[in-house]
This record gives sequence, structure tokens and C-alpha cells, in this order.
Amino acid sequence: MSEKAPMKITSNKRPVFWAWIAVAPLLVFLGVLFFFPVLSLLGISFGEDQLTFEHYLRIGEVPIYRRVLLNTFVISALVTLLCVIVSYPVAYLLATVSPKVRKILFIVVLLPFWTSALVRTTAWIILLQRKGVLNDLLTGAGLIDEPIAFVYNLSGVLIGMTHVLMPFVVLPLFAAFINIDRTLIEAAEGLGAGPYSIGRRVIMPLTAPGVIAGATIVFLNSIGYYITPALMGGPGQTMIAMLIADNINRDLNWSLAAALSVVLLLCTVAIFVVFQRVFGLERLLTGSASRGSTAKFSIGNNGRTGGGWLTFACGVAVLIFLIAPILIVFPMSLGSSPFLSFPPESYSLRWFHNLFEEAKWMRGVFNSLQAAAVAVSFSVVLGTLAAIGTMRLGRRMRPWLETVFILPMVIPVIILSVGLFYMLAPLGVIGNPATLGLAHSVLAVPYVFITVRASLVGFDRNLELAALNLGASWPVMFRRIMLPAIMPGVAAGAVFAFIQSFDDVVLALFLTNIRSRTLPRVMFEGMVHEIDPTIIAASAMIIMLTLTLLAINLILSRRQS
Amino acid sequence: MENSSSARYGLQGRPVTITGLNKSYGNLRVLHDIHLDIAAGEFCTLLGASGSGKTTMLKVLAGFEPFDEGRLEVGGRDISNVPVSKRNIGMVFQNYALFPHMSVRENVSFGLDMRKVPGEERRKRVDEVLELVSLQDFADRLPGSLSGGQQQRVALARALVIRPDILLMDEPLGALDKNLRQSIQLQLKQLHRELGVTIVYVTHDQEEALHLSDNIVIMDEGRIKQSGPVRELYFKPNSSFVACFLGECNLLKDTNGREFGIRPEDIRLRAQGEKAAHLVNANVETVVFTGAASKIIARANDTVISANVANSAAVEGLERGAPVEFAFDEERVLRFGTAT
Repeated sequence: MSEKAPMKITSNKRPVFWAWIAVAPLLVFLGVLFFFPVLSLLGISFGEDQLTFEHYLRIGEVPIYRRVLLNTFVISALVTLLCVIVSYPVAYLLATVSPKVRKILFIVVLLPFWTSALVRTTAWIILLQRKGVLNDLLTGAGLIDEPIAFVYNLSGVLIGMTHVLMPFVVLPLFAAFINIDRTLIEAAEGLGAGPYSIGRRVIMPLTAPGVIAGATIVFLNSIGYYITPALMGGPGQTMIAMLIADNINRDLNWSLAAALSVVLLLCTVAIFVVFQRVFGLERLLTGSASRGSTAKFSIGNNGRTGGGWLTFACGVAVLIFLIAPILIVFPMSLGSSPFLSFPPESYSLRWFHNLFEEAKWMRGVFNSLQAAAVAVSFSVVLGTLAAIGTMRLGRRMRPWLETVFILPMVIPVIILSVGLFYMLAPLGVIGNPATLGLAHSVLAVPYVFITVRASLVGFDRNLELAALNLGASWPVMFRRIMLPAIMPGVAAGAVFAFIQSFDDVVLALFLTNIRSRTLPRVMFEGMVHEIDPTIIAASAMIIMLTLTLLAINLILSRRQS
Repeated sequence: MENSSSARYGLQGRPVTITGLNKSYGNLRVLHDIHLDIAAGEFCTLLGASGSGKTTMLKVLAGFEPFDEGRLEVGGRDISNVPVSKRNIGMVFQNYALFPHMSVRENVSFGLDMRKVPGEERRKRVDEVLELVSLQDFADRLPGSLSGGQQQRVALARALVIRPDILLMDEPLGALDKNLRQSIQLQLKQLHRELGVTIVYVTHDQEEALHLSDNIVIMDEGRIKQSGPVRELYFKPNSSFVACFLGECNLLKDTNGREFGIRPEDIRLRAQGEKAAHLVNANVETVVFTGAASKIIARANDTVISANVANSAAVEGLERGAPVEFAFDEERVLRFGTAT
């Protein structure tokens, strides 16, 4: 009997232990290369030698700084408003066309979304500059006598930023449209509502949460924006990120740059916290996830109303606005003349030859690929491990970790760049492509975390238990059961990580030198002076690369389902 | 011949002994001092409502969930601290948990791969077990292309092929429709008889438990209310809870105010001048025709009594409010212990 006496066994805590082991590498990585450099700016902002508030006081006192702050908010608000206005017709269009057409239109929306912001800015300048495509067409048609100044002023900044950021509104808005139950519209019609009342009293309230969430993300991105205002704006459109960069590059005023960074950081974090309180983290994590609805939103049985057709036409116009700059790059890159004209008088591969033969371009491509290789491998391994570990931790711990892991996506790159530059310059590692790759990993890891997390949500925990029950060790189970199941998420994460790294300009401006500069930095520096057709050839190449990657991702995800 | 198939599949059911098992989630105690003996080759069903602790107990047995206190033995071996992968316990999941990217053959073969069974023998054992569940023609299909019933059989084959010491089944028929469920119940019972494997089966469906089991363990709020052979539980429940959980039961009070139970099928309409140990006067609420018989639902004071009686013109003619006199015998009365 004594043999059978109940014995005390210690509660099995090992799963939690291993979950922390999986999460720890990313926590350490972000701690060193994200939180430390960003928070150290806080210290510098109060003076490098002694505690002082003078830098903050100067921001408040010097008129130009006040104007830049005001600019930043006004431009961000305008861009947000524009994004919302132009997104409604597009989302309506996407929701009401046949599924086949919708697939094509989706590519029109997503391609610019994933194309480098630098490439898109390049394209807009070609289109809009004084001797650009649009002015050529308008004067050619006799509509105007003098070219209109579209770029290097407020309109340039607004067009460029709206184009870059508007998919953040279109995608959740489309999801909201698709989720409107068709019977609700019918019920409203049955109660005597006309198209206007339906729009105002049914569609607007039902789509509002999606729009507000998207708009918040746009605003969040706008206030820290660097490239587009720097390239498409004039002196009057200087925004805070540019001011930070100038204070470091030109004035070497670290403390003032740090103080400005802290102001930007606080604004960003405040908006992020509000967003998280109102919408929850889930919306950022799942993006435009849509739930099934009984009857899909569609046009009424009587066809489109007049207003419907008007919205339809606006939607088409916005889609043209989205895709035009992407398309224009191809013919322009094949022109033979060094002077940009549309359509090109004669075609040649001259600028592509130039791209592949001139040392600075090829070195740039090589440096970019090196950095991307580092960024993809680090972010995929760390992000995947962290996603697996996080899913295994308790409900109380999870949201905190998720917030920590997606924060690098929220905080403006300029802040990270300045912080990393300050931390790394004394160590003498600036100029090494691996350093840039590690910095890119910080930007890319949230994307991997999000995509892998999403595929883990769909992974049946019982499959893991079944494999263990059949005698598999955890590593064997991971290799044979879990990894095949989450592979599409990992692959998508890798694609997004690559794109993040390959598109980055801001980190490259701070963390590379003349020998290690990446392709986007070479392009950016070229554009500050004049648009060399080789830049357009490079842009065409980047677009094709993006298209290929997106196609691979699409095929992978389709094979999964 | 008797032993041929269990010998062929190399299965040998083992006994299970659970001693003093306790488990809590934080402050919530989900298993209270569980003691249970399951004989080798027995079909034992854990029956209870959701939240009764039956699934938790299965997970503890499989090793998916840790426990706080107690001891688990299978075939005399203490497995309390043996990791999941070394327990050699078969498991059929409620949703089958078939690996979606592997063919039926690969699914079934997985456990043998893990045990490093040589290729030739592995193939032979997979073929045998697929034949046993009549799926030899589906070996190369992916689970997603199979029907629910076929998937269920793959899950069973995958659990059996490793020659488990015991087989755990977590509501394995829950996802199937009623007709299919009944035919699979029959197959399962036959398979159990042939193979002699020890089965621990979890369900909330009392009918299913009655059909399949040798022994039933009735659980409620993390405790075992009663366990024993099916008939013993049905005819000698130790509490009104067990009596009402397993089958239908009327709860009445005797002249001393003590509660007792009587099953509807043990109540008859009193024949003219009949003498019986128990007589109850009641008024008809409704008569339900159930096909093979009729169910009279009647009210005696504030107690509702239901009685299953043979179909007859007299029964059919009973109007609402009509007085009836029920009779039943002392030996059919269910007396509960004083504990509950």
C-alpha cells in the first residue's frame, strides 16, 4: 500500500520556460538595437554634458522650429483627409465589381503599396515636374500656356504622400464594405431610404471604424515622414524628420536633434496608445482581416444609381492615380535621350546598360543585397521564434510582448536612424553592410512577427499534441508538422522583410558611407540634384523585382489554401 | 483463433491505475482526488457534462497537461513523470488532428517513423491497420479529401498502429451525423472486442456511453460520482445525480420524506384491482406517442411523473386532466445513499 501512496510531483512549468527561451533572442535584439538607441536620445536631449532644458525651450521659442512643427501637423492632417476622401470610391469600386475584376484591381492597389516609396516619388517627379509628362501633355493639348508647378511645393508633398499612404485606408475600408450585410441595405430600402440616406445613415456608420483605424495609421506614418517631403516639397514644406536630419548632418547639433526626436516620439507613442485603446492591437496585427457575412455587399438589384456611377467613375480615376506612376516608369526608362520627354522620341536600353556598367550602381545593388540578406535571415529567425513563443505565453503577458515586437513598425525610422548613428558611430561599425542589415532587421521583424503569428493562429494545437503523442520530440514535431503549416507565413514575412530592407533610404543615409551606400541611397542622392534616366531604369528594375516577389508570395499562399 | 487479431496486431491491453489525482488551474480545482482502476482490455467511458473534468483527465493521462498531485500507472509502470512522446498511449482527437499535408499512409506511418520501425515492417503494419479500418484504397489521399467518417477511421488507425498500451478517445464521434455515429459505434465495439485494447473514452452522450462501455465513470465538477459496470450504474445508482444522468428517472419522496427514484419504463398503469407496493395518483398533462410505446406525462401534486407504457386504445384516449393511477414494484425502486 505504501507504494501506492500518492506522491507529490512538481507542477510542469517547462512549456512556459521554453516559450521564454524562444522570445528572449528578439527581446535582447530589440533591446540593444531599438530600445536602447531610441531611449538614449531622451538622455542626449537634456544635454550631453549637463542637465539642461534649453533645447526644448529653443524648439518652443525659435519661430522656424515652431513653423516646422505646425507644418508637420498640417501636412499630416491634410494627407490623412485626402487619403480618406479618395479611398471611399476605390473601396466601393472594389466591393461592387465581380471577383475576377476585383483580383486585378487589388493588384493595382497593392503593387504601389509594396513598391519602394523612393521609386514612387521618382515616378511622381517625372510625371509632375515643370518639363514633366503631365505638363507636356497639357501644353501639347493647348490647355495651358505655361507649365504648372506641381512639385517642390505643397501640392507635390500632398500628392506624393497620399499616393504612398492611401492603401492603409483602402484596405480596411474595403474590408468594412465587404462586411456590410447586403440585407441591411435592402432593409433600409424597404423602409424607404434613398441612396443618399443609405450612404449617410447605413454605409458611413458601418465603415467608420475601418476608416478611422486606417486614418490613424496614415497620420502616424505622416508625422515622421522624410523622403517624400524632402524630394517633392519646397523649403516651405520642411517637416520635423527633415529638421532632425539637418540638425545632425549640417549643424551637428545632437542635443537639438534628440529633443526634436523626443517630441516626435512622444506624439507617435501618444497616437499609438490611443489607437490601441480604441481599436485594440488586433487591428494592427491582422490588418484588413474580414469576417464572413451572410450576404455580401453588392450593387442593388436595380443596378447602380446615378450616385453609384459617379462614385464608380471617381474610383476608376483614383485607381489610375495609383497605378500611373508605376506604369510611366517603364517607357521612360527605355528612352534614349538624357532629357526626359514623354513619349520618348526613340527607345534604347542605354540607361539599363549604364545601370549595369557604372560602378556606383552595381556596388549599390550589391550592398543592398548584402544588407537585405542579413536583414531577412535575422528577422525571419528572430521573428518566427518570437511569434511561436508569444503564442504559448499566458493571456496577460501576450499583449505586452506583441506591443514591444511591433513598436519598430510604429516609431518613425528617422528616430531609430539618429539613435543608432549616435550609438554605433563611436564603435566604428558604420559603413559595414552587415550593420545596415541588422538595423533593417529591426524594421523588418514586426512584419515577420505579424505574418507568422497569423499563420500560427490558424494552426491547430491538437496537431502538435498528436505528433508528440505519437512519439515525436518537439524539434521533430516542429520540423515535420508545425513548420510546413506556418511556412506560407514565414515566406510572406521573408518577402516583406526583403522589401523593407531593399527600399530603405533613411537608415542607409545615416549608417552607410560612400563605399557601402545602397541602391536606394545612390538613387536618393542622385535625385536631390536632378533625375538621371539611370535612376528611372533602376526604378523599373525595382518594380519588376517587387512584382516577382509578390507573385511568388501569391503562389505560395494559394498553394497553401 | 480467438486471439488471432490481437496477436496479429501485437496489441495487448494494459491496466490503468489512477491514485489520488488532483489538479487546479490557479484557484480553480478541476480534478478532486481521483481514484480509478481500469482493467486490461476494458472499455471505460468517462461520462459527464462539459466542465466535469472528463477531458482534463484524458489530457492528464496522455501527458498533455501537468497535474499537481497523484500517481498514474499503466501496466504497473508509473508514468507520472514520463514525457508525452514516451508514454506509448494512443489518442484519437475530437477533431481527429490529422496532419493536413501528409497522405493517409504518411499520417498512419508517422508514429512508426518516430519509433524507427524498419521500412519493410512499417509498410506491413500500416497496410494491416488500413485494412482493419477498410481504408486500404485511400492510402495515398490527403485527409482533406476524405469524409468525416473516413477521417475518423484514419485517426483510429494512426492511434492503433503504434500498438499503444491504452487508447484514449476524446468524443471521437461528436462531429459525425447520427446515422454514421451509430454505425461507427458498432464497428468500434467490434474492433475493441477483437483487439482487446484498453480504451478510455470520453463523451457527454449517455446513450453512446451505454452502447459502448464495459464500465462507466460518471464525473461532475471534477469528482467521480460513481463508477462501475454499465448495468450496475443503471440499476443501482448511488445518487439522484447518477440516476438522472444515465437514463431518465422520476424523483419521488416516500412517506418518510426520503427521496427515491423510479425509471419511466418501470411504471405501469394500475390494472383493475391490482396490488402493488407503490401506487401514485396523478392527472395527465400530456401523452406523447414515441412509436414503440407511449409516454404519459402526469402531475401528482407538484411532482411531474413520466411513465413509458405500451400503446393501447385506452392510453391514446387519455385527455388532459384525466386521473390515472400509476403502479410500480419495490424491487424497481432506486434507493440512494445518504451521502447525496
